[in-house]
Amino acid sequence: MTSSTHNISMTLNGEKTNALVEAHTLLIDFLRDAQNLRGVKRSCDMQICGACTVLVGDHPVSSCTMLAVDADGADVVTIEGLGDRDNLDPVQEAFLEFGALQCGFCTPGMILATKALLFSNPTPSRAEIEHHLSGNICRCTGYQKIIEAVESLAQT
Amino acid sequence: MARYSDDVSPYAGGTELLLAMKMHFADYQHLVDLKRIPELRTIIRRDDIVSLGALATHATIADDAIISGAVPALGALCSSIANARVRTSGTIGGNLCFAEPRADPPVLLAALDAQLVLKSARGEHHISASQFIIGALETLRAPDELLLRIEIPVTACNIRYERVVFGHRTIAGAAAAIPKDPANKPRIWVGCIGTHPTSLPTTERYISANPASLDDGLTHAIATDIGTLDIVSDEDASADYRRHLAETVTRRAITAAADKKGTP
Repeated sequence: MTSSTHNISMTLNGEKTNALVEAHTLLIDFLRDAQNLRGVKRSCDMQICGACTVLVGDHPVSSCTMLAVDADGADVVTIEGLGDRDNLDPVQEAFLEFGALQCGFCTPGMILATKALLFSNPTPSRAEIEHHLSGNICRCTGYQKIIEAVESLAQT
Repeated sequence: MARYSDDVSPYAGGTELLLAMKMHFADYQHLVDLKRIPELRTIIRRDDIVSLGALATHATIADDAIISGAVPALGALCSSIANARVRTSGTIGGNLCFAEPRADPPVLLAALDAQLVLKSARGEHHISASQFIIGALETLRAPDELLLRIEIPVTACNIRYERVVFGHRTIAGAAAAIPKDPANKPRIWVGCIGTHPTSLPTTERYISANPASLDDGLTHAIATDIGTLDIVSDEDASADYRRHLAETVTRRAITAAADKKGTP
Protein backbone atom coordinates (compact mmCIF):
# COMPACT_ATOMS: atom_id res chain seq x y z
CA MET A 1 0.00 0.00 0.00
CA THR A 2 1.33 3.42 -0.89
CA SER A 3 0.68 6.16 1.60
CA SER A 4 0.98 9.91 1.79
CA THR A 5 2.63 11.59 4.78
CA HIS A 6 1.20 14.54 6.66
CA ASN A 7 2.49 17.12 9.11
CA ILE A 8 0.22 17.20 12.13
CA SER A 9 0.20 19.49 15.12
CA MET A 10 -1.69 18.78 18.32
CA THR A 11 -1.73 19.65 21.98
CA LEU A 12 -0.71 16.35 23.56
CA ASN A 13 -1.03 16.17 27.34
CA GLY A 14 -0.79 19.96 27.46
CA GLU A 15 2.25 20.33 25.20
CA LYS A 16 2.38 21.45 21.57
CA THR A 17 3.48 18.46 19.55
CA ASN A 18 4.37 18.41 15.85
CA ALA A 19 4.93 15.20 13.93
CA LEU A 20 5.08 13.71 10.47
CA VAL A 21 2.73 10.73 10.16
CA GLU A 22 1.64 8.43 7.38
CA ALA A 23 -2.00 8.78 6.34
CA HIS A 24 -2.85 5.28 7.55
CA THR A 25 -1.15 5.55 10.97
CA LEU A 26 -3.62 4.88 13.76
CA LEU A 27 -3.67 7.24 16.72
CA ILE A 28 -2.86 4.36 19.11
CA ASP A 29 0.33 3.53 17.19
CA PHE A 30 1.36 7.19 17.05
CA LEU A 31 0.82 7.59 20.81
CA ARG A 32 2.46 4.32 21.90
CA ASP A 33 5.31 4.02 19.39
CA ALA A 34 6.18 7.57 18.33
CA GLN A 35 5.30 9.32 21.61
CA ASN A 36 6.11 6.43 23.98
CA LEU A 37 2.81 6.83 25.84
CA ARG A 38 2.35 3.21 26.90
CA GLY A 39 -0.58 3.95 29.20
CA VAL A 40 -2.67 3.71 26.01
CA LYS A 41 -3.52 -0.01 25.94
CA ARG A 42 -4.27 -2.09 22.88
CA SER A 43 -6.71 -4.89 23.53
CA CYS A 44 -9.76 -5.72 21.37
CA ASP A 45 -8.64 -3.42 18.52
CA MET A 46 -12.28 -3.01 17.44
CA GLN A 47 -13.76 -0.26 19.61
CA ILE A 48 -15.49 -2.58 22.03
CA CYS A 49 -13.32 -2.80 25.16
CA GLY A 50 -12.24 0.80 25.82
CA ALA A 51 -8.66 -0.01 26.93
CA CYS A 52 -7.28 2.37 24.29
CA THR A 53 -9.57 5.28 25.28
CA VAL A 54 -8.01 8.74 25.01
CA LEU A 55 -9.66 12.14 25.23
CA VAL A 56 -9.85 14.26 22.10
CA GLY A 57 -11.24 17.67 22.96
CA ASP A 58 -12.72 16.28 26.23
CA HIS A 59 -14.57 13.53 24.32
CA PRO A 60 -13.69 9.84 24.66
CA VAL A 61 -12.43 8.09 21.52
CA SER A 62 -10.98 4.69 20.74
CA SER A 63 -7.42 5.45 19.63
CA CYS A 64 -7.35 2.04 17.90
CA THR A 65 -9.99 3.20 15.42
CA MET A 66 -8.97 6.79 14.75
CA LEU A 67 -6.33 7.99 12.30
CA ALA A 68 -3.50 10.08 13.76
CA VAL A 69 -4.07 12.68 11.01
CA ASP A 70 -7.56 13.23 12.42
CA ALA A 71 -5.98 14.47 15.66
CA ASP A 72 -4.40 17.37 13.76
CA GLY A 73 -5.27 20.56 15.62
CA ALA A 74 -6.89 18.65 18.49
CA ASP A 75 -6.30 18.62 22.23
CA VAL A 76 -5.36 15.01 23.07
CA VAL A 77 -5.06 13.66 26.62
CA THR A 78 -3.77 10.22 27.63
CA ILE A 79 -3.51 8.83 31.16
CA GLU A 80 0.04 10.25 31.31
CA GLY A 81 -1.46 13.73 30.98
CA LEU A 82 -3.66 13.53 34.07
CA GLY A 83 -1.34 13.46 37.05
CA ASP A 84 1.81 11.91 38.43
CA ARG A 85 2.65 9.91 41.55
CA ASP A 86 2.87 12.98 43.78
CA ASN A 87 -0.02 14.87 42.29
CA LEU A 88 -2.81 12.55 41.22
CA ASP A 89 -5.92 13.67 39.37
CA PRO A 90 -9.07 13.48 41.55
CA VAL A 91 -10.34 10.54 39.45
CA GLN A 92 -7.05 8.69 40.02
CA GLU A 93 -7.31 9.50 43.77
CA ALA A 94 -10.83 8.06 43.87
CA PHE A 95 -9.81 4.85 42.07
CA LEU A 96 -6.95 4.47 44.57
CA GLU A 97 -9.15 5.17 47.59
CA PHE A 98 -11.86 2.70 46.51
CA GLY A 99 -9.45 0.02 45.26
CA ALA A 100 -11.13 0.36 41.88
CA LEU A 101 -8.59 -1.71 40.00
CA GLN A 102 -7.35 -5.24 39.92
CA CYS A 103 -4.86 -6.07 37.15
CA GLY A 104 -4.93 -2.43 36.03
CA PHE A 105 -5.04 -3.02 32.27
CA CYS A 106 -8.45 -1.36 31.76
CA THR A 107 -7.72 1.39 34.32
CA PRO A 108 -6.33 4.12 32.03
CA GLY A 109 -9.39 3.75 29.80
CA MET A 110 -11.78 3.63 32.76
CA ILE A 111 -10.25 6.78 34.25
CA LEU A 112 -10.33 8.69 30.96
CA ALA A 113 -13.90 7.54 30.26
CA THR A 114 -14.79 8.82 33.75
CA LYS A 115 -13.12 12.18 33.00
CA ALA A 116 -15.21 12.46 29.83
CA LEU A 117 -18.41 11.62 31.74
CA LEU A 118 -17.69 14.22 34.42
CA PHE A 119 -16.88 16.88 31.80
CA SER A 120 -20.29 16.42 30.20
CA ASN A 121 -22.23 15.63 33.39
CA PRO A 122 -20.58 16.58 36.72
CA THR A 123 -23.30 14.91 38.80
CA PRO A 124 -24.16 11.61 37.08
CA SER A 125 -26.57 9.20 38.74
CA ARG A 126 -25.54 5.60 39.34
CA ALA A 127 -27.60 4.57 36.28
CA GLU A 128 -25.84 7.21 34.16
CA ILE A 129 -22.43 6.02 35.40
CA GLU A 130 -23.31 2.42 34.57
CA HIS A 131 -24.62 3.41 31.12
CA HIS A 132 -21.53 5.48 30.31
CA LEU A 133 -18.97 2.96 31.58
CA SER A 134 -20.75 -0.02 30.01
CA GLY A 135 -18.53 0.57 26.98
CA ASN A 136 -15.36 -0.11 28.99
CA ILE A 137 -14.66 -3.74 29.78
CA CYS A 138 -12.89 -4.82 33.00
CA ARG A 139 -11.86 -8.39 32.30
CA CYS A 140 -11.24 -8.94 36.04
CA THR A 141 -14.94 -8.00 36.44
CA GLY A 142 -14.09 -5.44 39.13
CA TYR A 143 -16.97 -3.16 38.19
CA GLN A 144 -18.46 -2.65 41.66
CA LYS A 145 -15.51 -0.71 43.07
CA ILE A 146 -15.10 1.28 39.86
CA ILE A 147 -18.72 2.43 39.97
CA GLU A 148 -18.42 3.26 43.68
CA ALA A 149 -15.29 5.33 42.97
CA VAL A 150 -17.06 7.29 40.22
CA GLU A 151 -20.15 7.75 42.42
CA SER A 152 -17.92 9.31 45.10
CA LEU A 153 -16.77 11.88 42.52
CA ALA A 154 -20.32 12.62 41.43
CA GLN A 155 -21.33 13.51 44.97
CA THR A 156 -18.62 16.14 45.45
CA MET B 1 -14.68 10.36 -5.89
CA ALA B 2 -15.23 10.01 -9.64
CA ARG B 3 -11.47 10.26 -10.36
CA TYR B 4 -10.49 7.23 -8.25
CA SER B 5 -13.62 5.25 -9.18
CA ASP B 6 -13.74 1.99 -7.21
CA ASP B 7 -10.49 2.56 -5.28
CA VAL B 8 -11.92 5.29 -3.05
CA SER B 9 -14.28 5.51 -0.12
CA PRO B 10 -15.87 8.46 1.62
CA TYR B 11 -14.58 8.60 5.18
CA ALA B 12 -16.06 10.28 8.26
CA GLY B 13 -16.27 8.67 11.72
CA GLY B 14 -14.34 5.59 10.65
CA THR B 15 -16.10 3.43 13.24
CA GLU B 16 -17.04 0.85 10.61
CA LEU B 17 -14.69 1.67 7.70
CA LEU B 18 -11.41 1.62 9.66
CA LEU B 19 -12.39 -1.65 11.33
CA ALA B 20 -13.21 -3.18 7.94
CA MET B 21 -9.87 -1.96 6.54
CA LYS B 22 -7.90 -3.22 9.56
CA MET B 23 -9.50 -6.63 9.09
CA HIS B 24 -8.85 -6.49 5.32
CA PHE B 25 -12.56 -6.81 4.52
CA ALA B 26 -12.13 -3.55 2.62
CA ASP B 27 -9.08 -2.08 0.92
CA TYR B 28 -9.02 1.43 -0.52
CA GLN B 29 -5.98 3.37 -1.73
CA HIS B 30 -7.88 6.63 -1.21
CA LEU B 31 -10.13 7.93 1.53
CA VAL B 32 -11.96 11.23 1.05
CA ASP B 33 -12.30 12.92 4.44
CA LEU B 34 -15.79 14.41 4.62
CA LYS B 35 -15.17 15.91 8.07
CA ARG B 36 -13.67 18.94 6.32
CA ILE B 37 -17.15 19.92 5.11
CA PRO B 38 -18.83 21.38 8.22
CA GLU B 39 -22.13 21.97 6.33
CA LEU B 40 -22.64 18.20 6.36
CA ARG B 41 -23.09 18.29 10.16
CA THR B 42 -25.98 20.75 10.24
CA ILE B 43 -29.25 19.87 11.94
CA ILE B 44 -32.09 22.26 11.12
CA ARG B 45 -35.88 22.23 11.07
CA ARG B 46 -37.85 23.83 8.23
CA ASP B 47 -41.57 23.69 8.83
CA ASP B 48 -42.41 20.01 9.19
CA ILE B 49 -39.08 18.60 8.00
CA VAL B 50 -36.02 18.01 10.14
CA SER B 51 -32.91 18.05 7.97
CA LEU B 52 -30.17 15.99 9.55
CA GLY B 53 -26.68 16.38 8.07
CA ALA B 54 -25.10 13.02 7.19
CA LEU B 55 -22.05 13.82 9.32
CA ALA B 56 -23.98 14.50 12.53
CA THR B 57 -22.53 12.13 15.13
CA HIS B 58 -24.66 9.93 17.36
CA ALA B 59 -23.56 12.02 20.37
CA THR B 60 -24.55 15.27 18.62
CA ILE B 61 -27.97 13.89 17.67
CA ALA B 62 -28.52 12.58 21.22
CA ASP B 63 -27.88 16.08 22.65
CA ASP B 64 -29.59 18.14 19.94
CA ALA B 65 -32.56 20.30 20.99
CA ILE B 66 -34.23 20.17 17.54
CA ILE B 67 -34.10 16.36 17.54
CA SER B 68 -35.33 16.03 21.11
CA GLY B 69 -38.22 18.37 20.26
CA ALA B 70 -39.23 16.91 16.90
CA VAL B 71 -38.07 13.25 16.84
CA PRO B 72 -37.19 12.32 20.42
CA ALA B 73 -37.22 8.60 19.59
CA LEU B 74 -34.17 9.17 17.36
CA GLY B 75 -32.36 11.15 20.08
CA ALA B 76 -33.10 8.42 22.61
CA LEU B 77 -31.77 5.73 20.28
CA CYS B 78 -28.61 7.69 19.44
CA SER B 79 -27.87 8.18 23.15
CA SER B 80 -27.61 4.43 23.61
CA ILE B 81 -25.95 3.20 20.40
CA ALA B 82 -22.81 1.10 20.98
CA ASN B 83 -20.64 2.98 23.50
CA ALA B 84 -19.61 6.57 24.28
CA ARG B 85 -16.53 6.38 22.01
CA VAL B 86 -18.50 5.14 19.00
CA ARG B 87 -21.13 7.82 19.67
CA THR B 88 -18.40 10.50 19.69
CA SER B 89 -17.00 9.48 16.28
CA GLY B 90 -19.72 7.59 14.44
CA THR B 91 -22.04 9.46 12.09
CA ILE B 92 -25.66 8.82 11.12
CA GLY B 93 -24.75 8.95 7.42
CA GLY B 94 -21.93 6.47 7.83
CA ASN B 95 -24.26 4.18 9.74
CA LEU B 96 -26.79 4.21 6.86
CA CYS B 97 -24.24 3.94 4.03
CA PHE B 98 -22.24 1.13 5.62
CA ALA B 99 -25.51 -0.80 5.99
CA GLU B 100 -24.32 -3.10 8.73
CA PRO B 101 -27.21 -5.59 9.16
CA ARG B 102 -27.25 -5.12 12.95
CA ALA B 103 -27.46 -1.31 12.89
CA ASP B 104 -30.48 0.25 14.63
CA PRO B 105 -30.88 3.69 12.98
CA PRO B 106 -31.86 2.35 9.52
CA VAL B 107 -34.84 0.54 11.08
CA LEU B 108 -36.11 3.65 12.87
CA LEU B 109 -35.41 5.96 9.90
CA ALA B 110 -37.42 3.64 7.63
CA ALA B 111 -40.37 3.77 10.05
CA LEU B 112 -40.05 7.56 10.20
CA ASP B 113 -40.39 7.62 6.38
CA ALA B 114 -37.14 9.62 6.13
CA GLN B 115 -35.87 10.71 2.71
CA LEU B 116 -32.16 10.56 1.88
CA VAL B 117 -30.55 13.22 -0.31
CA LEU B 118 -27.50 12.02 -2.23
CA LYS B 119 -25.32 14.05 -4.56
CA SER B 120 -22.71 13.40 -7.21
CA ALA B 121 -21.24 15.37 -10.12
CA ARG B 122 -24.28 14.06 -12.01
CA GLY B 123 -26.73 15.82 -9.73
CA GLU B 124 -28.92 15.30 -6.66
CA HIS B 125 -30.88 12.15 -6.05
CA HIS B 126 -33.61 11.53 -3.43
CA ILE B 127 -34.39 8.09 -2.13
CA SER B 128 -36.54 6.80 0.69
CA ALA B 129 -34.72 5.42 3.74
CA SER B 130 -37.10 2.47 3.49
CA GLN B 131 -35.66 1.51 0.06
CA PHE B 132 -32.02 2.57 0.49
CA ILE B 133 -30.58 -0.57 2.09
CA ILE B 134 -31.02 -3.60 -0.15
CA GLY B 135 -28.86 -6.21 1.58
CA ALA B 136 -26.02 -6.78 4.03
CA LEU B 137 -23.56 -3.90 3.46
CA GLU B 138 -25.44 -3.07 0.23
CA THR B 139 -27.24 0.17 -0.57
CA LEU B 140 -28.52 2.03 -3.60
CA ARG B 141 -25.76 4.66 -3.22
CA ALA B 142 -23.70 4.84 -6.43
CA PRO B 143 -19.90 4.77 -5.90
CA ASP B 144 -19.54 8.44 -6.91
CA GLU B 145 -22.41 9.63 -4.72
CA LEU B 146 -22.29 11.15 -1.25
CA LEU B 147 -25.13 11.14 1.24
CA LEU B 148 -25.68 14.81 2.11
CA ARG B 149 -28.60 14.76 4.51
CA ILE B 150 -31.55 12.86 5.89
CA GLU B 151 -34.93 14.60 5.77
CA ILE B 152 -37.31 13.44 8.48
CA PRO B 153 -40.97 14.45 8.25
CA VAL B 154 -42.36 15.63 11.59
CA THR B 155 -45.79 14.03 11.72
CA ALA B 156 -48.46 13.55 14.35
CA CYS B 157 -47.29 10.05 15.25
CA ASN B 158 -46.42 8.17 18.39
CA ILE B 159 -43.03 6.65 17.71
CA ARG B 160 -41.18 3.97 19.57
CA TYR B 161 -38.03 1.91 18.93
CA GLU B 162 -37.51 -1.24 20.98
CA ARG B 163 -34.56 -3.61 20.83
CA VAL B 164 -32.70 -6.40 22.54
CA VAL B 165 -28.92 -6.07 22.70
CA PHE B 166 -26.59 -8.99 23.26
CA GLY B 167 -22.98 -8.12 23.95
CA HIS B 168 -22.40 -4.94 21.97
CA ARG B 169 -24.83 -5.42 19.08
CA THR B 170 -28.60 -5.52 18.67
CA ILE B 171 -30.02 -8.97 17.94
CA ALA B 172 -33.58 -7.74 17.21
CA GLY B 173 -35.00 -4.23 16.84
CA ALA B 174 -38.41 -2.88 15.89
CA ALA B 175 -39.79 0.58 15.19
CA ALA B 176 -43.45 1.59 15.38
CA ALA B 177 -44.79 4.90 14.08
CA ILE B 178 -48.51 5.04 14.83
CA PRO B 179 -50.40 8.11 13.61
CA LYS B 180 -52.57 9.88 16.16
CA ASP B 181 -55.21 10.05 13.43
CA PRO B 182 -56.21 6.42 12.76
CA ALA B 183 -57.04 7.37 9.16
CA ASN B 184 -53.30 7.62 8.47
CA LYS B 185 -51.23 4.53 7.83
CA PRO B 186 -49.01 3.16 10.60
CA ARG B 187 -45.42 2.17 9.77
CA ILE B 188 -43.99 -0.88 11.50
CA TRP B 189 -40.42 -1.98 10.72
CA VAL B 190 -38.18 -4.71 12.05
CA GLY B 191 -34.42 -5.10 11.68
CA CYS B 192 -31.13 -6.49 12.99
CA ILE B 193 -32.47 -10.02 12.36
CA GLY B 194 -31.68 -10.49 8.67
CA THR B 195 -29.72 -8.68 6.00
CA HIS B 196 -31.64 -5.39 6.11
CA PRO B 197 -34.70 -3.72 7.69
CA THR B 198 -38.15 -4.79 6.48
CA SER B 199 -41.68 -3.51 6.92
CA LEU B 200 -44.45 -5.65 8.39
CA PRO B 201 -47.42 -5.09 6.02
CA THR B 202 -49.90 -7.51 7.62
CA THR B 203 -49.28 -5.90 10.99
CA GLU B 204 -49.68 -2.41 9.53
CA ARG B 205 -53.01 -3.39 7.95
CA TYR B 206 -54.19 -5.00 11.19
CA ILE B 207 -53.45 -1.84 13.20
CA SER B 208 -55.24 0.33 10.60
CA ALA B 209 -58.29 -1.90 10.79
CA ASN B 210 -58.18 -2.36 14.58
CA PRO B 211 -56.63 0.82 15.96
CA ALA B 212 -57.61 0.26 19.55
CA SER B 213 -56.94 -3.43 20.00
CA LEU B 214 -53.69 -4.89 21.22
CA ASP B 215 -54.98 -8.43 21.25
CA ASP B 216 -54.20 -11.90 19.98
CA GLY B 217 -55.02 -10.70 16.46
CA LEU B 218 -52.06 -8.31 16.62
CA THR B 219 -49.79 -11.06 17.93
CA HIS B 220 -50.95 -13.27 15.07
CA ALA B 221 -50.37 -10.52 12.47
CA ILE B 222 -46.83 -9.92 13.75
CA ALA B 223 -46.06 -13.65 13.72
CA THR B 224 -47.43 -13.92 10.17
CA ASP B 225 -45.16 -11.13 8.91
CA ILE B 226 -42.07 -12.26 10.76
CA GLY B 227 -42.69 -15.85 9.66
CA THR B 228 -42.08 -14.80 6.05
CA LEU B 229 -38.64 -13.28 6.73
CA ASP B 230 -35.20 -14.80 6.24
CA ILE B 231 -33.63 -14.60 9.67
CA VAL B 232 -29.93 -15.18 10.29
CA SER B 233 -28.28 -17.43 12.87
CA ASP B 234 -24.92 -16.34 14.20
CA GLU B 235 -22.75 -16.64 17.30
CA ASP B 236 -25.01 -14.23 19.23
CA ALA B 237 -28.44 -15.70 18.51
CA SER B 238 -30.04 -18.55 16.58
CA ALA B 239 -32.68 -17.77 13.95
CA ASP B 240 -35.42 -19.28 16.15
CA TYR B 241 -34.42 -17.15 19.11
CA ARG B 242 -34.21 -14.04 16.90
CA ARG B 243 -37.68 -14.78 15.49
CA HIS B 244 -39.08 -14.92 19.01
CA LEU B 245 -37.27 -11.70 20.00
CA ALA B 246 -38.37 -9.93 16.81
CA GLU B 247 -42.02 -10.72 17.60
CA THR B 248 -41.52 -9.55 21.18
CA VAL B 249 -39.80 -6.23 20.39
CA THR B 250 -42.33 -5.50 17.63
CA ARG B 251 -45.22 -6.01 20.02
CA ARG B 252 -43.48 -3.90 22.67
CA ALA B 253 -42.84 -1.06 20.21
CA ILE B 254 -46.47 -1.09 19.00
CA THR B 255 -47.86 -1.31 22.53
CA ALA B 256 -45.69 1.54 23.79
CA ALA B 257 -46.50 3.74 20.78
CA ALA B 258 -50.23 2.95 20.99
CA ASP B 259 -50.24 3.69 24.72
CA LYS B 260 -48.75 7.08 23.85
CA LYS B 261 -45.79 6.24 26.02
CA GLY B 262 -44.07 6.56 22.68
CA THR B 263 -43.00 10.15 22.22
CA PRO B 264 -44.72 12.27 19.56
